[in-house]
Amino acid sequence: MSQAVIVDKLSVHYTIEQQPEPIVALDEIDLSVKKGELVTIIGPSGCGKSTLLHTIGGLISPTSGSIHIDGTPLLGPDPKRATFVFQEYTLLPWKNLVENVALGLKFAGIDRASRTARAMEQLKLMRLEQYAHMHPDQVSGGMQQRVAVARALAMEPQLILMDEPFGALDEQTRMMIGAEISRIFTLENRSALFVTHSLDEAVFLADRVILLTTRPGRIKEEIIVDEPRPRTRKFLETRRFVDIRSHLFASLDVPAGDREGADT
Amino acid sequence: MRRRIYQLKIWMAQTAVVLAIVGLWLYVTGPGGVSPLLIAPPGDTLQELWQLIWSPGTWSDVATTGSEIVAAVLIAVSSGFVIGFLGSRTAFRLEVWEPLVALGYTIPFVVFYPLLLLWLGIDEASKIAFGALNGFFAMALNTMKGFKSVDQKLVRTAYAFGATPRQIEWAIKLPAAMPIVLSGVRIATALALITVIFAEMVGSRKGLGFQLAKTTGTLQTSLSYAYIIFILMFVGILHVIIERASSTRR
Ligand SMILES: Nc1ncnc2c1ncn2[C@@H]1O[C@H](COP(=O)(O)OP(=O)(O)O)[C@@H](O)[C@H]1O
Ligand SMILES: [Mg+2]
Repeated sequence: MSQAVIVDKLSVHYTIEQQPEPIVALDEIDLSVKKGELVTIIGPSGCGKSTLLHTIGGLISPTSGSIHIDGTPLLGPDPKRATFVFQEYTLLPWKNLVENVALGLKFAGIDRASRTARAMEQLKLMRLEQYAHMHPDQVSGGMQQRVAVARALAMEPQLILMDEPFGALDEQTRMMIGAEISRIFTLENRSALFVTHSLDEAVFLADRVILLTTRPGRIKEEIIVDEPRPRTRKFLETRRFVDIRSHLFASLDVPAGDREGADT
Repeated sequence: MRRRIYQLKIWMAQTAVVLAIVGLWLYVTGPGGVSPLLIAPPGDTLQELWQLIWSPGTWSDVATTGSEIVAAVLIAVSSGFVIGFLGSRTAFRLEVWEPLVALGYTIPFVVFYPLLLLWLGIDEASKIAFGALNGFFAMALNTMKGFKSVDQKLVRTAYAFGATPRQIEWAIKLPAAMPIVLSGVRIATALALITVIFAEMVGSRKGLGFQLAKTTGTLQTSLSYAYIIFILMFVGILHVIIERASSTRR
């Protein structure tokens, strides 16, 4: 398998006014994602997960290091190569769902008829086609985030960057949508980097889990989850899942008294 | 079905309130013995109103007042939008302009009306200027608030999905600001509308406001009542039009 993205010695510092020392959010991160691979990133709050994702997608310029997607360096947002699913709800409230899915296609100058057709296809894949003409405020938060996934998929990018997209949802809904994502990403052979603070989600979705350290963000550990995809919820009850999960939990070395640790 | 019956009850109650008011009106002007110079009887008023509607002179007053209002609204809305938009382009400009415009919004411009009469004369120009002045600040302030409140997450999303700066302006910022901008249009219109009619009452030679002031002043009470009702209907129709035109989706 070839590489979809190569991140080489990536560092990001934030300089803050009236503070002599910059914040080192990321310190020489090396990572890569193969074509069709789904990599999850987990780590304590404030360790630089969002910074990493936003930098890889071109929204933040690196202080040093480089990002290559599909063999060429990435210097700014390029939705043909990398698209985002953000943590917050970011659908346009004045557009209906199918128009929202078509957003990037519209910016790319694709005519209305073909972008609507492509957006409808993505909604079908998400089993949301019957809601196509509703507006975001008429559907649940979980649906809005699935539409945001469809919006990212509609660009047919090399890499999809997801920043805790289902973080605000309850565990039940999150695992249901997780299974859906697993199905679609496997079907479409999509590569993705998926940030989460849920251990279950991290293990359930991933071909590989990357664990980050507290600030400055560095890679602490990588764990391969050797289980064929797409996965069903039965995987959650297997010995392998439980072992990997408890290993990760130990590695997160959360302070005592904070059982779900990274869940903040 | 339940809902329909409930709605019917609401309408019946409202009709009852209106009938009670008309009944009170009939009573005080009839058995109540109040002079028709102070309170015109409903019958006379309706008769005058009927004649008003069929008299060509009325419609020329409607044309005068209507065109003054349209001109005042157009000036208030367009200049308010431009100033509000330019004043919200940077954080610095907002800090400079927003308090000034907000202050302007609180000025009772009625104190300047005599000056406007002096400068622009007694005909249309002074009415248009007065209406526009009153509507302008509401429009400018709401436009600023609209553009200031644009959700930056949506701007970032559009940028991430490949929007050019131009597309961010037209496809994101403008529609995101639109609901508040449109409420500016509604407030500006309501203000321009009422101040134009008021200006006509205070000093002019034609228009619905002028007729109302004249008939009241010459104790043609039932005719002046007819003008009041006519003006209220005129204003009501304009409000419905502007409400329809400026309502957001669905
Ligand atoms: N725009 C910014 N300016 C300054 N510091 C920032 C900025 N964004 C994030 N940080 C800091 O960088 C660190 C990493 O933040 P972030 O990437 O959001 O972490 P995470 O997503 O893992 O919670 C945090 O300490 C945060 O306070
Ligand atoms: Mg984050």
